[in-house]
Amino acid sequence: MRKGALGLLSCLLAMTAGAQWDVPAKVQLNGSAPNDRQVTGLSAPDAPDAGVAVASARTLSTNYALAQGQDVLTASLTPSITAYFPGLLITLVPTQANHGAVSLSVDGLSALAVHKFVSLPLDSADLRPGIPVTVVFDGSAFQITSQLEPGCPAGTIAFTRDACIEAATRDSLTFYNANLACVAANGRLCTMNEWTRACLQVPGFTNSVAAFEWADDAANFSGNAKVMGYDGVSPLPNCRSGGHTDPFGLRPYRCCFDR
Amino acid sequence: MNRFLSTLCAVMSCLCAAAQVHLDKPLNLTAAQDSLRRIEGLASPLDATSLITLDNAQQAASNWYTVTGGTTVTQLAGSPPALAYTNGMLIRWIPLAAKSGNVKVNVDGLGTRAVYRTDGLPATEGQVAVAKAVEMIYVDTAFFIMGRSITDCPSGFVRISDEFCIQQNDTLSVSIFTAISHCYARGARLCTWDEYTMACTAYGAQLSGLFDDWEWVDDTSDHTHTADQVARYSCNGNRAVNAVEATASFGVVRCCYRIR
Repeated sequence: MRKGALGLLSCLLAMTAGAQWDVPAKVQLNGSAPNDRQVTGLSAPDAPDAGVAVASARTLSTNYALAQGQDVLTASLTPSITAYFPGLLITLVPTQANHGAVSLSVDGLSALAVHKFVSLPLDSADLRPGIPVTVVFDGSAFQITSQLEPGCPAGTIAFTRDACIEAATRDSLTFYNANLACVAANGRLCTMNEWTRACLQVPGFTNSVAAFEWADDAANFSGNAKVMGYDGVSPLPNCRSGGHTDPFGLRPYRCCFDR
Repeated sequence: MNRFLSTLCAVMSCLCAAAQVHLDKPLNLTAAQDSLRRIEGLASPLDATSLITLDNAQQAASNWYTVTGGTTVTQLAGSPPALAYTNGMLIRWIPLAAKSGNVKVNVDGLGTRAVYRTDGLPATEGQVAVAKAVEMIYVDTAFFIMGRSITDCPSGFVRISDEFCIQQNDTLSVSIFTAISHCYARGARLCTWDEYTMACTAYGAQLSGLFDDWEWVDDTSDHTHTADQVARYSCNGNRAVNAVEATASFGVVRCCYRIR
């Protein structure tokens, strides 16, 4: 039966050079059951006037692109576009962190500014490798419409939604000078709470722990200051071990920064 | 030609009742008039390869998912279901129940995937709230939440000020280290002493479990390798307890959550 139907189609529909079925009229699906009113088997669209299947709509496959470059970004859509049009929405996955203001060229079209908060240029590391952003063309520039979380300074790790911690320790200082050094860096000495959480959460953190480190807050002892991160018996790095010591001794430390 | 097609359809309706028309080449609509270059009568799509209708596109129905269950891993179902996780996959859904710990989803039974914020941190209970729509996009191995983080208290928390919320009930009996982990895993942290005192004093009537055990706070304690506990018998009570993994040094946990 299927063969017979195709035979009829072959006779009545024009087939251009064996490449496609040309239908010069509207196609009306009139099956009584929903299952009979389907067009299935669609692959990803390859032209602007091609039909779109559920899979393409769901994955936004025609509007998804890797962004190559650091601050001068290029991206390619499939199928490509020939002009920007207001409302064009693109899911962009950066391959590098940006250093500052960013421009974007899609499919070889002119490079346009990428803004956050409507009209502000991006700050460093607003774009992060592998983390998607959505941008919409507003008629003159691209606006980021997805959430940009407050970033962390270079060399630090976001270990909570509230704070960043330095990935490596700083050179040993007294407890007091460590505090001053962190404030001078626009940060603060990490609290015991923060230090513990970062140590427990950040993969490989203990690899950067070579000795007791100064920590602010909990468990100061009359005249002593708090240290964290080392088991003095083993001796090995240990997130759940701390002590107290003379604040005038020299210890490594890390600064934390609010986000 | 239109009459030819009408005839064709009529013939095919007879020949192919309850069957399908199969085409092994692209179908190209060639009429000059816009009104004739259309496919109409489409039903809701049956599977991921189905052509979608304008109705489906306007409603973004392909991206809308519903929660079908799950405790630690939220089960999500789309209609029609996806065949695989694909880069760019955009899903919107509304959580039905509060979760503890990091958010994980299983979409259309395709396997468990983690959910991250756009700063790369795991999304926790505080960022995925009951009745608040979540929009997330799949990249490589996980989903990323694209919308704004909520700016209110997670469920089970009481708003104390514009700055922070405190957990309504205390929970667990653990060491200071586990208490710290427990709170951070929920997008929260241990309360500072002043936060706790303010909440206990001014909002005690809204809190449960007050004065049933010592509760950990994150604040200074002037003693050897200890951390502070508060409020065993009153809001003002406090003591220093060893910061070690030993039952005798345990306390209960009541987290605070920074609003922003």
